[in-house]
Amino acid sequence: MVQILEFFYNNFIIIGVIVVSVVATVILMRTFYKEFRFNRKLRFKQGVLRNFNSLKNTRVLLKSFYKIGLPLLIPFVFILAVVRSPIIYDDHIHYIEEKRDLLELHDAYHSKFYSSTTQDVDQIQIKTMLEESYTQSTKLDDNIDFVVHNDQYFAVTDGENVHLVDQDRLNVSKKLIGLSEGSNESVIGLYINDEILYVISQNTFNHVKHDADFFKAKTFIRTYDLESQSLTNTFEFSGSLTHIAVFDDRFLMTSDQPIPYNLVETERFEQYLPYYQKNNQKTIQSYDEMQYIEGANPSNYLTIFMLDLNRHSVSFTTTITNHDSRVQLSEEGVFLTSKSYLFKSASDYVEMNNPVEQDRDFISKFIIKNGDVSHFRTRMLDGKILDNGFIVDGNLTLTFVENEDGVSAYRFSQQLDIFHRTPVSHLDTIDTLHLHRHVLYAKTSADHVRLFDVSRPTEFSSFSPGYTTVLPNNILFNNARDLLLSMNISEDKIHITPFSFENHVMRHNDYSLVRTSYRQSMLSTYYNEHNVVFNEDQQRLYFPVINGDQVGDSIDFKTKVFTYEWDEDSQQFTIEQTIDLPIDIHQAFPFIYRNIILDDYVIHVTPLGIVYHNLDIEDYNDYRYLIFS
Amino acid sequence: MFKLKVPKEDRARIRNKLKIIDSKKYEYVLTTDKDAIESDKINIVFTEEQAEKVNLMLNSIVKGEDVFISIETEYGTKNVESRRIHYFVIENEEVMAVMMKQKVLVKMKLYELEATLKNKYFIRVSKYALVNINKIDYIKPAFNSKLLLLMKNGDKVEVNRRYYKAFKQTLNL
Repeated sequence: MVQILEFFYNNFIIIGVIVVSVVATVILMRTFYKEFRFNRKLRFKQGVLRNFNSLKNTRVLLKSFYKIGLPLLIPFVFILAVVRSPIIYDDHIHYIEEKRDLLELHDAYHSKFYSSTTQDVDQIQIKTMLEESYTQSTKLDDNIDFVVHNDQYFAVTDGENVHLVDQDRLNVSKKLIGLSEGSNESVIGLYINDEILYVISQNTFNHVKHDADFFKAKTFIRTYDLESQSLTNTFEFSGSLTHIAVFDDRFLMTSDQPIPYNLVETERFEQYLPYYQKNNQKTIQSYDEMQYIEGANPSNYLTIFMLDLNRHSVSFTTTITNHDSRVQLSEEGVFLTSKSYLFKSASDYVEMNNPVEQDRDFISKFIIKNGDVSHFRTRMLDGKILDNGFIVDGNLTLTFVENEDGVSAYRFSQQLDIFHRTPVSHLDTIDTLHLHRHVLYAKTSADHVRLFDVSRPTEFSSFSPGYTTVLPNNILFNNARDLLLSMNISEDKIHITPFSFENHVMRHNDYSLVRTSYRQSMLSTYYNEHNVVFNEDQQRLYFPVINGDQVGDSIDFKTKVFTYEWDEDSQQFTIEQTIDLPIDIHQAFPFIYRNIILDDYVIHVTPLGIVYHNLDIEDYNDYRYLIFS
Repeated sequence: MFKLKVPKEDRARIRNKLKIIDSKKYEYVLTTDKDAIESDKINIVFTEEQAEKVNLMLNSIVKGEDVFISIETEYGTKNVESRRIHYFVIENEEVMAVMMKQKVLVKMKLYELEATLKNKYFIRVSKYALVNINKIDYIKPAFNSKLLLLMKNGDKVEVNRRYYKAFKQTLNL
C-alpha cells in the first residue's frame, strides 16, 4: 500500500496529465460519436428524400483523427519530453543458475577476443589480478579506526593486539586479543557500538606459494561484549575486503574474489564460492543467487556483505563482474561502477579483429531493503566515467562521463534516473571531487579547481570565475563552520593548510606548520593525515612527529607532539605546547597516533601505550603513562 | 417515402438503379412481383429493364409533391419551390426565406409555414427558424445540448434545446 502511494506521489505530474488526457479523450470521443451519428442520420434522411448530392461523409472521418488522436497525443508527447532518455534497467542484469552458466559466460566473453588485436586490459592473467586484489588497501570508514572509544572504554590496536582501557582506571589495560606469532591474520580496524567492540581483521600472505592461496583470502569480524570482556561472535567473510563502512547500525562491506577458472576441472573450484560464516554456521552463495552485469568481464565475484549490528545477522549478494570495479558505500546503499562492452552481434558467430561495438561504463546500485542487501538497478552510460569522476554524498549522486562528444556531468536521482546531463567544457581529468554545502569542487590534474553549483537537482552550472586555486588532497577536518584543514607533505615539511569559504570560493592560507629532519620520501612512508588530530571543542591541533635525540653514538627516536590552537581572527594556528612522549610508547612502523579528550584529560595514544595529563596547557608535561603489555 | 419489395438477391442491384433508400414510413411500394402489392399504398410494379424509367418517375414524384411558397421580390410576388429554400428565419418580426445567396420576405407566419411544410423536408429548429433538411451540410453538436447546423450556403443555424428532441426524432425517421 505504501509503495502504491509512494508511486503516485513520485509520479503525480505524469499521472495527473494522463488522467486529464483520458478524461478529455472520453469527452471528445463522446462528442465525436454524437456528431458522427447525427450526420449519418442526416445523410440517410437526405437519401430518402432523394437528395443524393449530400451522401458524403469524408469530413466526419477526417475530423475523427483529430478528435481522438490529439488528446491521446498530449500524454505521449509529455512523457517523451519528461523522460528524455528512456532506459531499460533490468535488461542489463542476468542471473545464472548453475556452474555451467558461469563457465559459458566466461567462454562467451573470452572467445570474442581470440582473434582480436584490441588491447583489452581485461585479458590479464589471473595471477596479476590476484596480486592487484591483495596489494590494494581496504578503504575504511572514518568510524573504523585503530583507536576507538565509548563513554567507558577505549580500545587500541597495533595490528596484532587489541588493548582495552577502562577510562576510570587509566593505569590498567587488558589485552583483549593477542594474535600468536606466525599468525597470518592482522587487525585492520576497530569499531565500538554501545557495549560491543568489533574487531576487524584479515588474513595476510607474505609469500606467495601458490595462486590458490589467494583464493583463501578472508575477513573476520569478532564481537566482544565489553562488560564481560569476552568474545561473543566470530564472523568470517570470503574474499579480499575492499571497502567497509558503518551506516545506521550496519556494517557494509565489499570483497573481491577472482573466480578460479584455472581450477575449473577440480572440485576446489566450488570451494572458493563466496560465503560468510557466523561462528560455526557457514552460508555459501549459491549460483542461482548471483547476478551478472551484461558486457562485463566475468572474472570476479564482487560480494556485498551487510552485517546488522543489532541482530548480528548477515545478508549478502554477489555480482559477477570485472575485477577492477569501483565501489562507493553510502547511506543510500552501494554503488558499483565498471566497464561493460557492447559487442558486435556478429562476434557471437565469427572471430573478429575488433569485436567491440561500444566501450562504456555502467552504474549499479544495491540497496538495503527489509534487512537484505540486493541489486536495485543498473544503468548503462553512453561513455566512460572519468577516473575519480563519481561522487555520492548525501543527496548528490553525480558522475562525469566522457565520450566522443566530450565530457558531460550526469546527476542521478535515488532511482538512478537522470536528473540532467550537462556538457562540461575543459575538464579532461579529475584528481578529486569534494562537496561542501551546494558547491562541488573538482580538482583537475593541472591543479586547477572547477566549481559547480549543485544546489538544484535539475541544473548544473559552473561558477564564475569558475575556479579557485587549490583543493586539499588529504582532508583532516571538515566542519559546518566552513573551516577545512588539509595536510600535505613536501620535502622536509608537513603543511597544514586551513581553508575557508568565502561565498563559494575556497581560499587558503599558505601555511607551513612543521619542519622535520626527514625528507619527503621518509615522511610519506609513515605519515598520514589520520595521525593529525584536530579537536573541535578545544580548537586544538595535536601534531605528532618523530624526533631523534643523539645519545652517544646512536639516536633515540621518540614521538614529539606539538599542540597548536586555532585563532579565529588571524585564521592561523599558534603553537601552545610540545610534549615528548616516553620512548617506550614510540613506534615508527606503523606510525599511529591518536588523541582522545576524556573529561579533564588529554590522552595521547600509540599502539604501545598511552600518555595522559590534565587539559590545562600548563600541565601538559606533568603526565603519567601506561605501557601496554 | 418508398418501400422496395424485390427478391433478396436482386435487391442491392435494383436499389442502386433506382437510387432509393427504404424508409419505415412509406406511401409508395416499388416491386417486381405483382403479388407483393399493398392495397393501402400506391404500388408501382415494374421489371428490372424498366428501372431507369422508374428512377426518373420517382424524381418527378418527389418534385411533384413539392409546395410552392410566395415570396416578395422587387418585381412583385413570386412562387418559389420550397426545396430551393434553405431555411426560414424571423428577422425584425418578419419571416424571411433564405435561399442560396438571397434573403427574401415571405408573407406568412412561421407557424403557418411549419404547418404547410410539416410533412415535407422542413423541420422547426427554434422559435425563429425552420430549416430544410436537404440543405443541411453538416451537424455539429455543442457541449450544452445544442446543435449547430452548417447550411450549404455557409450560414449557421442553431438548434434550440427545446427543439433538440424533435430534431433527433425527425432524423430517426
